[in-house]
Amino acid sequence: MLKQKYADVIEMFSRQILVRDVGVKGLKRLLESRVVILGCGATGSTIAELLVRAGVGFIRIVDRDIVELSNLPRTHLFTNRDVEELRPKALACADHLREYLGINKIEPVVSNIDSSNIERLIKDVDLIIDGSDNYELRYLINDAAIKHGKPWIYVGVEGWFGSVMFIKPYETACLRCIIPQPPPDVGDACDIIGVMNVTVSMTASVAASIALRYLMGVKIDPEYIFVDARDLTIHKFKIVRNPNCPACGFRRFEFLNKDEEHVKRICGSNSVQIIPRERMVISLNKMISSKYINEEFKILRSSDYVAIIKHKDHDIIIFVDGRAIITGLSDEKTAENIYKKLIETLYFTGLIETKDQRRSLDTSDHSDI
Amino acid sequence: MIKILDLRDKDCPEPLIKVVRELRNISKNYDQLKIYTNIPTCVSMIKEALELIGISDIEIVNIGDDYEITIKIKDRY
Repeated sequence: MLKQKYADVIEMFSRQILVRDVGVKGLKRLLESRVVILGCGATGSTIAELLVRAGVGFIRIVDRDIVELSNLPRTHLFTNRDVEELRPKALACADHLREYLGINKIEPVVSNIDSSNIERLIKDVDLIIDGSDNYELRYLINDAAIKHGKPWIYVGVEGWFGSVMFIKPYETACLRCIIPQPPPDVGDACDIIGVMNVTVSMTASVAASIALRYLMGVKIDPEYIFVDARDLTIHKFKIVRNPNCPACGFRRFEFLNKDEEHVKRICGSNSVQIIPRERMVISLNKMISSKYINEEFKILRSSDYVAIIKHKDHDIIIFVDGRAIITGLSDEKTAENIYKKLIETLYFTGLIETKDQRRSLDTSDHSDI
Repeated sequence: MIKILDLRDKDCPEPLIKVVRELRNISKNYDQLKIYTNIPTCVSMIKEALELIGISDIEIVNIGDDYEITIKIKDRY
């Protein structure tokens, strides 16, 4: 950073550096810190805003979804305009975050997070933050974090309650020390479990406080923190490592080594996500002025990033990289058949570009993610 | 030429901000900045801030209850 820029930054943070445990040294550490936030929904975006405003130098935001109307009541960074423009959450988050201070480097990655890319997403950061809404991803984060010795912060919210846990591999208990396997039938809970926005803010603030203190070099106690946004209490429980933990005890990374499922029910709702087995690029910009692909597939809305296509009783949300979410069904086979038919149609109508013409939504150096 | 900032009896962050602003707007008319403060925590904060900016040529002298911080300007900020 230029000297002139540092002078501006010191003035900007002149109140923060007066705080005990922060000072100019703490600020310098924050400015040099690198964080990845996996999932930029309600909790992820709230934590991101707090970290950006506190001066964290680099934040990578990863999310696979677009901003939806139902996100707005809980999410600090999204607006109605993001919904109207079908903006991917990662890009919407990044654009809003860049506007705040203008000194942070924000790297959006529009991508599903799975075993094929998580190690690349986390390997160059100081801290991983869980902004996800599902246990499956949290177990994957836990495996990747332990394998690479990266600390991470578990964050969960439900109704009026939230929980936060700082996990430092081989020093504190990890997720599998406490819950060796994902809870049965929990799946992705975002659509079926209600969440109050105040719960999100309180829980995210606890997580952000831990993140900032860790990044400034403060030792974090191994505790499970339970936030009750209804009774307005925060309880802390000491947690200890399990020597027989499959992840941090025996370094068995079952979730990291699992083959990716290309077709999968998502988010506890009536929809299925399909990840293409081969790389492709859908020419979404050509769809913007069209209403139909053919008589079976009607284009409801389209942007540079995503299109919503109607097929019988189902909406198909298709991204530029061919990933799709088919709503109104839970049968994976039926979803795959609809998807195959759509992709064939797109090929025949010239709406799929070759691999060489591939462009990525990812605006960072991680274009291969 | 020496520029003097008398910031005695002023609590941080005010002296810190004034020093940083002075450095940012420094003119070519002087090559030394002398800061006076009597708040010890402010002294260390100013010192750390100057180091963060990349100014290492700092001299701090304790005179009674006061501190004199001298910055020799080599580069323009």
